[in-house]
Amino acid sequence: MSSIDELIRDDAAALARKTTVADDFAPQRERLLGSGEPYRDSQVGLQHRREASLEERRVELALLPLTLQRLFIHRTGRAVAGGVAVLGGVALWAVVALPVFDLYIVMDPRITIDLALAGAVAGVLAGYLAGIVLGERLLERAVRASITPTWDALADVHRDGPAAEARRLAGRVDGLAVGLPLVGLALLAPLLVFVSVLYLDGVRSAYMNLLYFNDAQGLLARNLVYIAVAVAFAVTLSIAVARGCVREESRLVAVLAHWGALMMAALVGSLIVVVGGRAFFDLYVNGIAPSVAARWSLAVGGVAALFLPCVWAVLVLRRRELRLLDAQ
Amino acid sequence: MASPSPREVQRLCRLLEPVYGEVRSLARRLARSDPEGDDLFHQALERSLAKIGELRDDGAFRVWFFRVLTSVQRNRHRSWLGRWVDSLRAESLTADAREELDAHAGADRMRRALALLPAEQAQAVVLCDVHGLSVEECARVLGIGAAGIKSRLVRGRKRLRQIYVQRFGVAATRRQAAEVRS
Repeated sequence: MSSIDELIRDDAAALARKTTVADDFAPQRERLLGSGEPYRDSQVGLQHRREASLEERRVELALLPLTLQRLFIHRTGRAVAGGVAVLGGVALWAVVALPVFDLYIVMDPRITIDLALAGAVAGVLAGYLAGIVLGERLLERAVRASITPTWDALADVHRDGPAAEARRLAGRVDGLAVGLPLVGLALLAPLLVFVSVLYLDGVRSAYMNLLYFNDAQGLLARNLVYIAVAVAFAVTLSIAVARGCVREESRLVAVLAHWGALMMAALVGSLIVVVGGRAFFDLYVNGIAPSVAARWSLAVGGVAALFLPCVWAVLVLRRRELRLLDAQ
Repeated sequence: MASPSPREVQRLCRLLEPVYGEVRSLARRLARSDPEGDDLFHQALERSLAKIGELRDDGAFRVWFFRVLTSVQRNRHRSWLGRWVDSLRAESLTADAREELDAHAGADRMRRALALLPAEQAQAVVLCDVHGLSVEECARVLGIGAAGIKSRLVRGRKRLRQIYVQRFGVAATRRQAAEVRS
């Protein structure tokens, strides 16, 4: 053993000797049994610690990283925008699918599906802005509570500081900020694709009316099963991804956030272009409707080619946010 | 927090009495000063009063209380602001350490050096090298495997040597000076 190791060993022994406390438990027992209050100086020490911790939290609030605040606020914005998209998507699908069940309702003929979709998209943007304002309010309220003394001194001492509070809030909206936009996208995207196809086909005005949209074209009614299965699959996947994000450790999230998922989506997308092109050619040139197999391929491939890249993008954005969070 | 029942307080008193001196000593060893150690002990005592209902085996009280104590100490280190303030404090402590080396006893020197270690390495070194727990006991207290404790000990001791050489100017052997330089 060298001189330095001996010195460290001697110092450790000196520290052990110096800090040895006598086994005199009687005063402590008296304090504990007398009041149940473990502090030597009863409430005074506790008050001092509360004041000290509140002061520390005020400093922490002044130095609270902007990244933390922005992260929570934008996540709230995405969650609210996603919620608006889900509500809009459900409402649009309900209205569009009504004629299938022969539940005709009186609708204003001026409201067309493209107008309704544009309204839904505008609602999503407005929802994002409203979410940002809401996020600012929520964060302000939470951090204000973390530096405000309450009647319970012990709770004040143990309460999280502003930074921990902001982290907790950001963690709480994580799943919603991922899941709701994806579910909203899963609901709205098929209608957007459908309207785009109709625009390409030259369909305008009255046929776009919400009441006649489904019935007059017949396209949606004939393909509703395939589309419904694809949408249900996308919604289920979105929910699974959101739950995976909440759990933090999820193989599904890891796989979907990998660049390989994007490559796979591009591969499936190119196959869809081939299958879709052939179906389109057969329908409009030869007058032959696509087979059941082609329709299933288009439905499943549509999810893979259009939806998976969106999931990948959302998860990559989230990974970037987590890196920023870890850097704080 | 709900106040503990008299029965729970009595149970804590009964279990704490045989190990009272030992746990207070450990609290002081984990802290940077004796008053801070006493405060750490009382904070741990306060938490153990709240959690005593979760302890099923009275025989495991000693390790359980050690675990509460180290957990409280770890949480003190966990906030980024606390770490920043600690690092500033440690820097200011060591700035004039070389001049004051002779004036300080070995215990103070060890405390200064421990203050410069990462919290988990300092806990492992204090529990094993100062307090004298075995690696297995230390692993039970900190809730990690024995291999993890050994790793923390090796890294902690190596860092201690570096601190003793670089901060306190203690002469090392030729081989250890080379190790420290690397």
